[in-house]
Amino acid sequence: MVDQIRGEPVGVELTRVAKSYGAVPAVRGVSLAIEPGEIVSLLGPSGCGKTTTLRIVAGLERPDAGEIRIGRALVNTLPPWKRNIGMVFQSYALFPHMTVAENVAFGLRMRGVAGATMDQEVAAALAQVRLGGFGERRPSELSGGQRQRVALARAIVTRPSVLLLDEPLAALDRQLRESMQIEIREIQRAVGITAIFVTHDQEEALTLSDRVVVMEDGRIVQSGTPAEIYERPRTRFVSDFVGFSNVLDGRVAEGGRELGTVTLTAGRLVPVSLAPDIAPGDEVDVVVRPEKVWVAAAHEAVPTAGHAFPGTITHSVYMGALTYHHVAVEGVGRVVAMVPNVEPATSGTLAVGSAVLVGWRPESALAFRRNDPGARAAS
Amino acid sequence: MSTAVSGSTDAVPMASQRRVRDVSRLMPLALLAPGIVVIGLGLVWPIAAMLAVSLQDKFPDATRVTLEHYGTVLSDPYFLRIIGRTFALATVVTVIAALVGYPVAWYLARSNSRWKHLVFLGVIAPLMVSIIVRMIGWTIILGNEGLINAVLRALGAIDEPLRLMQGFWSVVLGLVHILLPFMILSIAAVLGKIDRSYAEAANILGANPVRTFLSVTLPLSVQGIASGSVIVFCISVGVFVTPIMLGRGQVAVLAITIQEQMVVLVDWPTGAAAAMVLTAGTLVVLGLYGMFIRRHARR
Ligand SMILES: Nc1ncnc2c1ncn2[C@@H]1O[C@H](COP(=O)(O)OP(=O)(O)OP(=O)(O)O)[C@@H](O)[C@H]1O
Ligand SMILES: [Mg+2]
Repeated sequence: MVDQIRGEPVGVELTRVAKSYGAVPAVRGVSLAIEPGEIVSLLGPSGCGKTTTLRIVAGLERPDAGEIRIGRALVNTLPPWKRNIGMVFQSYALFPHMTVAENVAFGLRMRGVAGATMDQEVAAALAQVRLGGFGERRPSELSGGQRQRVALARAIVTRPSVLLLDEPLAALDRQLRESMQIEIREIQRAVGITAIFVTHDQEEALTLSDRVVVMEDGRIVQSGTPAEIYERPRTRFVSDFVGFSNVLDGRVAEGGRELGTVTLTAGRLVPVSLAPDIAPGDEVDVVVRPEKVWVAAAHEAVPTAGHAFPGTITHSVYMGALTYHHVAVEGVGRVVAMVPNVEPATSGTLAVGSAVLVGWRPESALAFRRNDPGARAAS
Repeated sequence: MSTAVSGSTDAVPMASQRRVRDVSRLMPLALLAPGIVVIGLGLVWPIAAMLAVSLQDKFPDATRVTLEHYGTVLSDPYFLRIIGRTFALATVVTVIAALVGYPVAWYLARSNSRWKHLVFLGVIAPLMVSIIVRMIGWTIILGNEGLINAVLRALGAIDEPLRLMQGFWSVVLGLVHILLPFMILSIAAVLGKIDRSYAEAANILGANPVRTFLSVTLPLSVQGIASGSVIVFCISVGVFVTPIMLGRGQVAVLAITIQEQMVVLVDWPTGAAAAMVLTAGTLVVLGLYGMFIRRHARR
């Protein structure tokens, strides 16, 4: 049986878990160890198997292969009602024939908690999601954000060992989503619960989690802290998925070490950071995030020693806090640089048409072998 | 509609604006008219006529208005027994149809089996065969010389044929068979619309399949049971052919008695009063259903 010591977070471990729906493989060999009290997000494009993975942990799907452990117990054959799990569904799945309080009380009633104790715990859970006084309403009489909070209260009131959330914020507008992210995080910390959070929003994954697990095509492609995922993506797919990048194609000129150089198709030699398995002569894509690119007026001093390429600003997109400058660089191509608007953008020296220098630190430019199926499948 | 029109009033002259509004108000009436005519001619008119007859001392050649026929129908033990039997029959048929129909409806709504279409066809097939044909079918099975008795006799289990054909329960069986499709389709329609995540949420909250069914799925499908029950009850309370054929004259119900009063005994006012009692009973059930639906609609 699952550890049911209330308030004691437990770990979750998946070992080579696989699941197909008929001939359609949804999850192909996922191995993942989640520490007690950790909040992990599953990130990936639509159809990559996030929901299926979550449903396997919940016991709503039986895996074709592999092992699932909650705490130390192997739970492969344990039905969902014996797993002591909390889950927030994407559609919330609040029972329409029950009031808010009855919805929250449901899990307690199933555990034999009744009477004044039950009422107290329901009130405490509703207070925790700031819905005190909403107990008598029907789910249909609530806003989207309120329903989401009821679903959260219903999931945590039984003090489950693991909390599963399947894109619970997808239906909310941006502002509400951001405040709910903070709220979920705070409640998760306060309750000290292990949580798995499914999302296909990279920003949400980065803000909300201790660890991000990026999935593609039923497999885990990378798992790491938000910073590792963002700064050191292991594959081109991960890099693309967690944010916009400049992509420059070329061939490795100098390699064998972590830092090397690439001769771009456009002509120039640029410094890059290389994956260990990339050798000189390999065709690569060099990926540089816009905020890693510096821009300076041609007559100003170069911020970092080393590589600087002359170019011309062709186009600027003002975003308030920052500006994206599109720079045509000879021998490189078009490079987008993100510049925080430290000084008023109106007084800037970086006007469209002006001559500038651009550059980046070698470790900020990541070279990935082009169209490499092996790199995509690595896990 | 009318707010959208008045939202841009400036250019539109008042008169034509009013005309637009009148037309939009008459439109629903025009669409409802055919239905109203059919219901009026087919339902209200006969009931009104029946009510009028039931209140006359004699028919034809009435001399005064009286409630005496209602007194007869509602106090004479003969009539009371028949009224009781009629409503008991309808209730029993409804309950059995719900109990038998629910699992079939569940299968139709939830199964992914490729036999599902066949089962669906089996469910609606009885609707395509005339009642008389189906009753003859049951006679072939249940009759003294019928299938069951023949088999039992061949097996040596009985010497005399069992009298399967004249009781209350053979009529119940026949009615459940006829009316089951209505129950199944009503329940399946509602079950099919219930999102599966409700049951899954209940499972995860600790409810085993039985508790999930009792506290989530059943309450969410109760509207289907209610509408199916109303159809089955209202039809079986007024049945005529089935009790005659499967009851062999031993199972007198109101519809048969009404027909006897009017056609055999030529006592129109008493027959009409009995018919009004039948109608009133049906209306009470419909009223309860309406109240139930209104309470449910608040969700
Ligand atoms: N019940 C099902 N029957 C058949 N195929 C399914 C079923 N559920 C999921 N799949 C398939 O399995 C694959 C993974 O689905 P899953 O729902 O896990 O994706 P997801 O990562 O959650 O996607 P999304 O972001 O769109 O929710 C998809 O190809 C999907 O079509
Ligand atoms: Mg999903």
